Order: sequence, then C-alpha cells, then structure tokens
Amino acid sequence: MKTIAIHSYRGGTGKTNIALSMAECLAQREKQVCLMDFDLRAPSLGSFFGYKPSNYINDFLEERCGIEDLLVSVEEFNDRLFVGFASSEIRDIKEAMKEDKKKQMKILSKILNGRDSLKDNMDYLIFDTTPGLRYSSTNVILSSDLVLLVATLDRSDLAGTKRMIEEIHEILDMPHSVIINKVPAGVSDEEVSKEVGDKLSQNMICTIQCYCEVMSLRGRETIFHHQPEHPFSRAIEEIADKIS
Amino acid sequence: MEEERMIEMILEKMDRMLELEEEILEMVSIERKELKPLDALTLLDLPDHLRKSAMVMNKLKEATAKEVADETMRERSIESAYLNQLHRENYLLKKRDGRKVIFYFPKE
Repeated sequence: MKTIAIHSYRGGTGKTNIALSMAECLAQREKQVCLMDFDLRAPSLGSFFGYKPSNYINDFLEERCGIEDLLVSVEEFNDRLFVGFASSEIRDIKEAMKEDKKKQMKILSKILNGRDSLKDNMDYLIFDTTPGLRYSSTNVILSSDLVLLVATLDRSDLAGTKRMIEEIHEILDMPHSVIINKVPAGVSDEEVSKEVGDKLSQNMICTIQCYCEVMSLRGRETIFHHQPEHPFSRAIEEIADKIS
Repeated sequence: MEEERMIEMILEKMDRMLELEEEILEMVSIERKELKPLDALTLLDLPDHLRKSAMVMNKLKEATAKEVADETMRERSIESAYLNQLHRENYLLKKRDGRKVIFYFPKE
C-alpha cells in the first residue's frame, strides 16, 4: 500500500479537489483506494458526498471506534473507493485541534496503527490534510510514503511551500512532489518553472491551469468525474501515472 | 567479517555498561521524572537516527531493541544504543524481563 499525503502551505490551493480526483482516478484504474479527510480544521468531504456517516475520523482518534468502522464505500466505484469523513461539528473540530503534546502523541500512534491495519486491503491510502504546519497535517505526513504539495503561483504561497519543504520534508527525508495548480491561462511551463524557483521546480510533477469549469461545479462533483477528457482530468491522470 | 564481529561485541558490551549505569541511576534516584511526549512536532526536532526509532516506538508502544530493529532495518546493537539514548533523554522507559530489555511508554 502506498500512503500519500496531499498537503499545502495555505488553504484554497485546490488540494481537496486534487485529492478527491486522484482517489477517483486510481479507483477507476481498479485499485483499492481509501481517501481520508484529515483536514480536521475545515472538513469538506462530508458535504461533497452529502453523506453523514455513523462514525467519523474524530471518533477513531478518540478511540470510540476502529478504523474499519468509519470507512464508507462510494457506491458507484463498486467497493474500490472508500472514504473516511471528518466531523464538521465545532466541538469535534476544537477537540481535534487541541495542541496537547500527549494527546497528539496518542493520535500519531492511532494513525500509524490505523494505516498499518489497512495495508492488506488497500493499494492506496490518500490523506487530505490541514494546510500549514499543524499537528493534524504533521501527524499524517509522518505516516506517509509520499507528500504531494499543492501550491499556486501566489508569491506568499510559493515562499511558504519552499519553507515547508526545507523545514519539514527535507528534514524528514520525506519524498515529496510539487503540483502548481490554478496557473493563469497563457502562462507556459517554462514561465512557471522560472516563477517558482529552483527548489520547487526540481520537485514539480505537474502544472494545472486554472479552469472556471472546476469552480462551476460548486463542489457537487469533480471535473474528473464529470468530464474525463477535460485538461484538468488529464493532469490528474498524469499525476497518477507518475506516482504509481 | 572478524572486524564486524568485534565491533558488534564491543557495541554489545558498551550497551550493557550503559544499561548498568541506567539501572544504578534509577536505583539511586528518589524522584521519577515525568516522560517527555514524542508528539509529531517533537519528532521533527529529533535527529534523524533517533526519529526513526521513536516513530517505531510510537507504533509499537512496547518493544525490545530487536523488534524495533526489525522495523527500522538497522542492526540490533545500533538500535539498542538509540533506544537507550531516547531513554536517557526521558522519552522512553525501560525494564528487564529476564535477559530481555524492554523499552516502553507507560500505560495510561
């Protein structure tokens, strides 16, 4: 099983859309995929699927259920795509974001053991993470084999992403790749490489243009699912090829 | 090969000396210090070699140096030295079970 954390320096980079599309893409390729919403501060997969599960990731982390109790099979993927949802209840978000070191140590251990218990049944475990350096993101980064960093061409985003690579991924010797998303139309890959600088461009595996069609779906479905021939969908296929 | 075997023996003896030192220190210490948590952000600050052992301990909770070495794919004697370092730095507890030395986190 390959464990992938999809991370970003800040919110709004399109990280969740990429995580979701990647999960759909790999499941379509007949892989067993588990997608976990570890953006515990602002969960979004629940509203995307319009699903209210009986158990959330939060219940698993608080030892109220096992990891298998929270996974929901996405109907149209015939038991190939499973999703773990995070609670959007304010009290659960507050609880998950507590920065108590002992509690966070227990949570890391839960994630490591939960990941290992999925090893035999899944080909891919994808974590959608909380942006920035938080316990909820660092815990899953430490539990992953590969980190996909999603950034935009915004200067502060690029500077923050570079810092995260230097201060987290390189220190941890963690394999990582960069996806530059929401690139304005007409900006070439060469211009993007120049803009992002050496550090990011040497780890860059894909650039994705900014498409209004992605936004026009308003989080009801992914463009990957809606329009498989769309350039966004082809970019997702390209990323899936590179990480497989 | 002979050289490797000698190094292994020296490391084992050093390891045992360190263990004895720890045992004596524990016997004479009146107050038991509280363990420092090995949370994700603390792990980021640890040197690479210790982080690898600490991550495995986070998963196993209780293990011998051999069990940790099986996961980190390092030599048992090297792993033992790293686990002892984590113990000395107050991240782990250790106890004896016959000839075995077990590193562990206290149960809650």
